[in-house]
Amino acid sequence: MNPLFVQTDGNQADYRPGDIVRGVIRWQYDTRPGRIELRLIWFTEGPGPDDVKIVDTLVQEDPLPADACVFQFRLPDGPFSYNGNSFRVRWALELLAPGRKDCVRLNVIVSPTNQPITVPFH
Amino acid sequence: MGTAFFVFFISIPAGIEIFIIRDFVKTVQTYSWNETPCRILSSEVVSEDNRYRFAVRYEYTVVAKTFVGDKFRRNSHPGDYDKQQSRTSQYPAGSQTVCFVNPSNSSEAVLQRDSLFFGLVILFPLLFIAIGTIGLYACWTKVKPKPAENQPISNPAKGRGFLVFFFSIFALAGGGMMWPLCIRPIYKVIDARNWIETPCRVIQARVQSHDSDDGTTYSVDILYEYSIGGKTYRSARYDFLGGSSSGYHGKQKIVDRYRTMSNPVCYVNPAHLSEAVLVRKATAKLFLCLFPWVFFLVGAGGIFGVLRSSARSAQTGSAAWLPPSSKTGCGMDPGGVHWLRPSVEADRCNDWITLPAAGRRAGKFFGWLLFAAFWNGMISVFIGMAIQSFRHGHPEWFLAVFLIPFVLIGFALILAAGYQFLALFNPYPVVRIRPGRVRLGETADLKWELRGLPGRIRELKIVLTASEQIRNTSDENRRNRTVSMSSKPIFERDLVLLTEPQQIASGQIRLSIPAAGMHSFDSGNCRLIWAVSFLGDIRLWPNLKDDLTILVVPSHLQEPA
Repeated sequence: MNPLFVQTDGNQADYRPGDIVRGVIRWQYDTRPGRIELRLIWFTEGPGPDDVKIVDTLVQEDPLPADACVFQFRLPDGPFSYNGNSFRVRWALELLAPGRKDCVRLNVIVSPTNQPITVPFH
Repeated sequence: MGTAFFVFFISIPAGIEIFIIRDFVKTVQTYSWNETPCRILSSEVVSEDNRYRFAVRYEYTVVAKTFVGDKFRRNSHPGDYDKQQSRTSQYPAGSQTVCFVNPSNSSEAVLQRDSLFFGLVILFPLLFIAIGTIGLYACWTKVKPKPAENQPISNPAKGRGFLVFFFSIFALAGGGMMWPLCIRPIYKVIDARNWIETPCRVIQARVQSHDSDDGTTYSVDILYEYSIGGKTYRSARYDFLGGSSSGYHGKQKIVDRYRTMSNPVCYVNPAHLSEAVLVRKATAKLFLCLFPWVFFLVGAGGIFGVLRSSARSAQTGSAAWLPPSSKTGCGMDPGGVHWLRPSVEADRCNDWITLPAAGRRAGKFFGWLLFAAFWNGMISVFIGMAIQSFRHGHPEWFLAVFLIPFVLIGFALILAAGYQFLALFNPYPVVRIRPGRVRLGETADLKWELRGLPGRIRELKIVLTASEQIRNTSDENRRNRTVSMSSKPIFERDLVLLTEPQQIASGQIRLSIPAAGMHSFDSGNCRLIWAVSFLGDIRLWPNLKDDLTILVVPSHLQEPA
């Protein structure tokens, strides 16, 4: 079972640009994990090399072995989640314990229409 | 098919690498041989197969037993006269020196050990092995694996270390060639300006031929004698670069000139009187200096690109994508822009801004020209071989027929380059837009003026387009930051179609951006580009096709308070 857990309030998965993403993160280890990081990222997916940008980070230094905390990020105005012909743009919350090489990712949608922008445009 | 090609591509340098490494290991072993006093019995330069060899004999004693050795180095070959002559000065007959004796076989000895720098030659086949390996990898991993759920996407990309290593090989290869092919000859040419002009006597002048698998090459071989400081010296150095090349007649002319020259002169190094040269000025051969730079710049450029790409990927911050601030107050919060291309002009949101010129015409022309030159240059070698075979009465029909499609492609490339050349002289639009950043769902005014004989355009169409661009995986093999366009625009809307010359020459229209579209985007490897295309039909001439990029931003983009 993954010792890391991330969840948004009300299990919300879609947001508009500028919205605030709130939620809770939990971790459960036998010993102190050293560092817990929650990253708000967007990344591209396509046949070529992918790009990743870390928009914001919440860091817990030397936390207790098992604990939980709430988080809050304000989403920027872009880029939008996008499903194109050649590439896609995705958003995610990535929770990791670098010292333990554990990671969990929660995909979210950031778009004015609450859905990824698709082609063709209208 | 690709796998077979790259396996074959790797196997040849791999085979060569095995031989190089084996030889290098033997060279390294001589460094464990025992340094033993020896006496030079004889030392002279002998002529061998049109070249010169340092012939030496030396005597040494191991465990009360006397041996005579005649090996200068483990790998010594006939070469230029000057080099061999300098060795006779270094090891004159009767002198005492040291040699290196194999502890396992006392009859095996060398006077000098081969340089360990030879080990750098190992890098050359590694280059080709690396290229073949990447090609093989690209063939096998056409489908990119999705990152595992428990692996963070946001950690620095893996594989960059391999790319840095790959490009380092290029840089090291270029750096290794830099000294003999570039720095040393240029230094010598500059230094030789102070060398002493000295009369000399030509003892022997001939064109030396060098046979290899690729054919025969030729070099100028002139042995001359000069007296300076009360001593007589001999040298065979013609210029500072040396080497051999094809082209027999040019070299024969040089040799004939020196055979009949009444008062030949050479230039003597005042610091080393045994060093002389016939031609001390820079010659066209010095262009060889550029060769190592190609490797070095590819390697250094690749390392820089990989590290820069790593730095961009690692950038963080909530403001990482926001556009930069503006003096007019129309700008946004400060921050580096990584998904939206910044433009200082575009920040003046209510002013007319001039869209940057497409600038692609010259690029397209030179691109086609270089490709045509490269392609036709490559096949001209084989065409020459085919023609020669017909002239000599042994026609190579298979080669001739095989070359037909390649020749046709070569013609097509020349025509394409010619077409692009004519397109350089097309009218060009100067376009202004207001506002500089157009929001999704909103409109913008566009005005244009065509310069350079717009009267030639019979019909002008202006189209609003959005296109995707990605850096393709296969482009990594070419080590280029080339992008590949998707096959057609993802959005296309005709804005206007004009046939009246006055309307074509200049005008103004309004364009609207779809509300449910995607904004302009540029993450480095992926781009979404909005553009206004000017398509002009010109009779009996390449048509006008210029694309000017516009900036489309989210409708929510925050203005500062």
